[in-house]
Amino acid sequence: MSLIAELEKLIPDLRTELIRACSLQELEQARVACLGRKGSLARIMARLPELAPTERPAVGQKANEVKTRLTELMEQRTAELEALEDARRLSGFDASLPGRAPRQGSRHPTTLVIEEICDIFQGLGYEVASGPEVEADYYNFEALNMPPEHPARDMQDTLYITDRILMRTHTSPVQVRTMKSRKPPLAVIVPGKVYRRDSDLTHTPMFHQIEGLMVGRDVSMAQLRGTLTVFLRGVFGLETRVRFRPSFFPFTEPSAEADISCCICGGRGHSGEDVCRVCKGTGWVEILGCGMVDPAVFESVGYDPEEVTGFAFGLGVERVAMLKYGIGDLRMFFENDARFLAQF
Amino acid sequence: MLLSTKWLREYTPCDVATQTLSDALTMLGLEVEDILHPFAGLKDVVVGHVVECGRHPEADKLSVCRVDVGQGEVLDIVCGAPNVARNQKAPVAPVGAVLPGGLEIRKTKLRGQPSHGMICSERELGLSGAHDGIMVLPEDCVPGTRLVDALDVDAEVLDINVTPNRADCLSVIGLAREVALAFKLPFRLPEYPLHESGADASALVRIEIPDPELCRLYQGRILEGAAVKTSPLHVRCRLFAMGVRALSNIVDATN
Repeated sequence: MSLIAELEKLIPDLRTELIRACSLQELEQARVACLGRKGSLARIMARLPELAPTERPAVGQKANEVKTRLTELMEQRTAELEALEDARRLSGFDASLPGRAPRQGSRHPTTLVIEEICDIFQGLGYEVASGPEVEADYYNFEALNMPPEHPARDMQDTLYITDRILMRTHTSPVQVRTMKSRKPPLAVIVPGKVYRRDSDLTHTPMFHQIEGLMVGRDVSMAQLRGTLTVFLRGVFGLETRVRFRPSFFPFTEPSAEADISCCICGGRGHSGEDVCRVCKGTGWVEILGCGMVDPAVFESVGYDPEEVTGFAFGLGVERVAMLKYGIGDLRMFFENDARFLAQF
Repeated sequence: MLLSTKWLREYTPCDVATQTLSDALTMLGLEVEDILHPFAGLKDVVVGHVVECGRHPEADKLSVCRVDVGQGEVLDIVCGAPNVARNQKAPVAPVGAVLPGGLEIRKTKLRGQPSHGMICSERELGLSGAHDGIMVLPEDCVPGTRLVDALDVDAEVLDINVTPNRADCLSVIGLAREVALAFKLPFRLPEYPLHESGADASALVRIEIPDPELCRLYQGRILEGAAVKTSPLHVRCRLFAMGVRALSNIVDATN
């Protein structure tokens, strides 16, 4: 057969192959067999030198025509097969279904509570302050009227890094730092992480506290009671009742603890038949500690206790969040379960 | 700090409801964290009078007893204690009673003899570790009385969180002072008649305080002729109510 005839035969041959090919992979095999470096076309072209020089241009031109035609057929069939693939993949696709919306993050309940509380106090004229989480023993205990060996330190289980450096167990050290860095009068609110060696159902080694401090001339316990009552009603609702009981902290004298009327049972002590689980039937939930700043603390910071008085208070943020949002388990705050976090 | 309300009443005549007392203490700064019922497990146990006591025909170590538990009921009880004897008064758990620890008393036969109850040791009652025999009760106990009434123990004990600044409240007397003030009641310390004789204690013993800053006062008394024994039952029950283990009369007195 003449070369030209052979070249022309490539076209129907390829067409047959292409019809036979059902996958893109088979298609590729057919392409290589025909148009590849060692394919049918290449083999025919390799025999070009056998011809007389006068016949070569005609054959060469035919070869180009055939090559173009073969490539067209390839592309056509490739497009067909690709379309079939797409159709297969998209079969069952219902364009009327809602799309997959991108996931949206939300703020953590701890953050929400801190923001709400700081907001209330900023409205009362307080500034937000902060301090280091890795603290010196001096600021965490000594300056707050808890000398070494004093049993008052037993009330807290501390994580020590060295003998004199520890993870702060409360936000109170920032009171000392703030007072040392400026003169009275002042009013600050201090949110932050605190650390204690305590891990069980109702305690985690790290949690958040918010500290408040107001110092000036004639700052009184009546003002403390008033401020806290306004604050607690702001967070828990206007009908919340607040009561104060004597208590003890080494850095305040007198010291008190404030309770709110239970937000779950409304202070009745029970909801329906059962004793209220939150307040255990008492109708009151302990929410924060407070008191008038102990003169010993003023001495540590260089304020004259005869010139100024002050009050301070501290609360646990997770506790407030659990009461406000009805969260039953403290561990949920730290488990990063998206199903929990998405609810806020 | 656990507070026995009955003991409290020896110093101040406070007869308000336990919840009222608890609320008052909390508002004074002595937060009541819990109200405990240390003797709740003994609610089914009654005083029994061992009317008859004989050797078990099939077992050397067992005795077959007839025990009067009041209301005309006399129970057949087989008892394994070495010290059970006729005419004793002892704690009896009748059929249906549930003891501390969960043991439920059922009608049973021991080596062929019926036993409808159990005469209890202190350990079985959860009062102490004593288990070498049954607990023998004072002569004047009346059969059929509930054991908790016969021993006059506390129904309720307050668990008070005493803050570090109130060490004065780490005793019943200290708490009684607070309660007396709270309710405007009289406060009286019982009289402790002291029989002093013989040489001065300072002639017999020298007390030296090396560091007066750390220890400002040390007081001592000489007691002669004291024998170490188990404390009387009512003392041990008081200490039990307040979560203190009774060890011996001398140690218990210091507690």
